[in-house]
Amino acid sequence: MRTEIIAILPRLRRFCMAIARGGDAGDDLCQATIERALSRADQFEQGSRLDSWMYRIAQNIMIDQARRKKTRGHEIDVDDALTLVGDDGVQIVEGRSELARAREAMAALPDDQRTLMALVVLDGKSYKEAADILDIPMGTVMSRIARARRSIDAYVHGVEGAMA
Amino acid sequence: MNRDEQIVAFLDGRLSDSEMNAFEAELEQNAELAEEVARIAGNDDLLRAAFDGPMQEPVDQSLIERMGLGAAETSIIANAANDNPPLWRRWQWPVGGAIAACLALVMVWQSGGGSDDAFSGAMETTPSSVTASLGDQTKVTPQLTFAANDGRFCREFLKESGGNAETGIACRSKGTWTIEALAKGGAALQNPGEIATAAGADTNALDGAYERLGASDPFDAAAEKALIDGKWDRR
Repeated sequence: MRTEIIAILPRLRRFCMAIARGGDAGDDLCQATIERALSRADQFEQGSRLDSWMYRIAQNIMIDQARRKKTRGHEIDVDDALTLVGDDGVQIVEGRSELARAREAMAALPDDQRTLMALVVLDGKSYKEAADILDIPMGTVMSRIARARRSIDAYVHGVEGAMA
Repeated sequence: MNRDEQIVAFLDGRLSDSEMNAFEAELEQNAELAEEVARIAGNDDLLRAAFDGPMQEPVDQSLIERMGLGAAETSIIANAANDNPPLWRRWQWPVGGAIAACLALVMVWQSGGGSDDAFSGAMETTPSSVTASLGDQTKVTPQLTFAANDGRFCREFLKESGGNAETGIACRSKGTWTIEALAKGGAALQNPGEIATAAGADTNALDGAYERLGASDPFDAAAEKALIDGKWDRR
């Protein structure tokens, strides 16, 4: 299994970086995901997609972490964060590179939307594959990814130019 | 489907043919919509660029170890910390002049004889320098085994069929061996019209593939045997 994981490692790291809101946090998540995958290698269904299985593990680790943070009262309210950005986000991020702004836009998304963007837009997964990985209905994928892209647009271009 | 969903379904190729035609017709009429779609598509491009770092970083030993994937490999991959060039650079063609003046055929598999399954099976189980028959008077002899920098195991092989000799590189992914590069002896070509890329007489035709794959030094016989016995699993 190690060989197969190495073959998908760049994509796995990108996925983790995108959903963990930051470079170092991304690699920490990636390590944890690999560790869990290796320890549960016997649960991997031969013939199914290793990337999908590992993305699901990464997402579960994220959910566990978020839950732990919540019980300690440290979770950031993403809606508040978004509102803040909506009002004067353009000023806040002015002067930073477009790419940094795009990463911030992803980080500002709710967890479920961010994961979906990472699967569909970054990794090129189909709606069906994304629905299977996240265990949500296909219709939810479409509405959720539409909301996510609207938020990204609002963040990157400011509210004026937001998606209709 | 609301307008937002229509746009993302368009961008993600989720519209049916008739929906696609209708949407495209609307795009031509509605400049505001067209601009919006272009902007959303631009946001997607921006996101892909923003998270492209891991895709560009080479998967080398230090990364593999940092990610907790290195432990089992150190026993297999020979220590390459010396000043010698990798063995594949020093390696000479086994068949002499006919193949030395060779032509490189990258990603083209046009030799006759031997099914893909038989080839894959031979690559999976045959030690280097041992010849396996693929049936149909085709024989394959693995020459050496190495690791590519994407983590795959690869083998150089010699394939002989009815007087033709080819040498190539195949890499293993999900239990199947796929040809990455193939070079044919110039003297034995039967279909010269199909040759895509010509290499100079003194150029090792597989060098490009070795470079592209980021080949490690070849494994020694014991390491190779361990891989074959373990069905190429690094666990």
